[in-house]
Amino acid sequence: MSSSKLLKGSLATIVLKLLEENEKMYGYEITQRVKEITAGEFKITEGALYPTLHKLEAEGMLSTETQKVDNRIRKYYSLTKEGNAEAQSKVAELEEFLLNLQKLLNPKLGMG
Amino acid sequence: MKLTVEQHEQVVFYLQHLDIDSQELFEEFYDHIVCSYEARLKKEPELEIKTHIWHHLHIEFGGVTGFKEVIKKHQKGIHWQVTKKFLAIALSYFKWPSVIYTALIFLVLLGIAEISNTPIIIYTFVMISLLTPYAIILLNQVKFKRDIKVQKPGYYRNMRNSAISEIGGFTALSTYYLFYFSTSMREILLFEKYFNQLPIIPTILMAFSTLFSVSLLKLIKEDFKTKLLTT
Repeated sequence: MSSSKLLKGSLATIVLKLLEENEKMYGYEITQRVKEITAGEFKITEGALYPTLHKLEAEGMLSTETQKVDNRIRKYYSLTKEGNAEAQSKVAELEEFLLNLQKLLNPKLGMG
Repeated sequence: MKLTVEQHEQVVFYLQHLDIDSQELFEEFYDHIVCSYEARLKKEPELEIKTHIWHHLHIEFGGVTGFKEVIKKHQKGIHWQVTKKFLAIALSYFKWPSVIYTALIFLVLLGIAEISNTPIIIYTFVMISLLTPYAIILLNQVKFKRDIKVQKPGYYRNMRNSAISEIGGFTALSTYYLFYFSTSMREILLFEKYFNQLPIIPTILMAFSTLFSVSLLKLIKEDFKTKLLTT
């Protein structure tokens, strides 16, 4: 399995976590922030990001607002109350998963 | 940055080539393309927007297939969102304290059903209440299309408006079937007689159509776009 496939499975959690830390963000900004935080190691493709954003919006986790920037429309995403709770639960779930995965892949580290 | 007319046309051509005809996706991807072009221009000042789109972005978006998938999922998501909101509005009339007004309206409708002797009054009431939101939707669609015609933004529809129009279309269709059903039933099962003897039947019919109409009108007021933000 390629790293991009691993990343795709955690994309919703990444988006929720970023929006938890930032009040509102737009699509391009999210891709750049991920690239910046991981020093270019993780690259979110637009083809994966937008369906995730739209799905989270449809599920009521994200709310949107539009603003006019340089004569074009920018769509900002922000967490709803439900999205905020989901972000915390998803991050905790992923952290636990990573911890267990580490125990499996490197038992010595897991015991420490 | 503000694009030149030629650059703007290149972006519009690309989005239209991908069959992106809805306001929501068009605006979002337009902004994405310009943002990424701005960033890349810092590294490659000579880069043309056409090259940036076709040689870089097109691949990152997953090509035509990738875009089709994004459009399909987004459309499905918006339909689900609109239906969910419509149902939430309708259900809100049964929550405290709105339920008091709902009960009062039901009693008034029961009174109307008891006083009126002919089903035609009931049918007229139901038809007016079901067709009013549809008429408003049509009027708003005309306003939106007129705005698009004047501003020529590059897209032709709004997905949310389309989803609301579909619910409106359902009301128009249900009115037709209601009329068809009631005329045939009147002849077969002496429907008219039951209509007069059991006022609760027309009352439920009127209450349902009123609830449908009020919920749809609220949805139109909150979500239907009639004007564009772009210039």
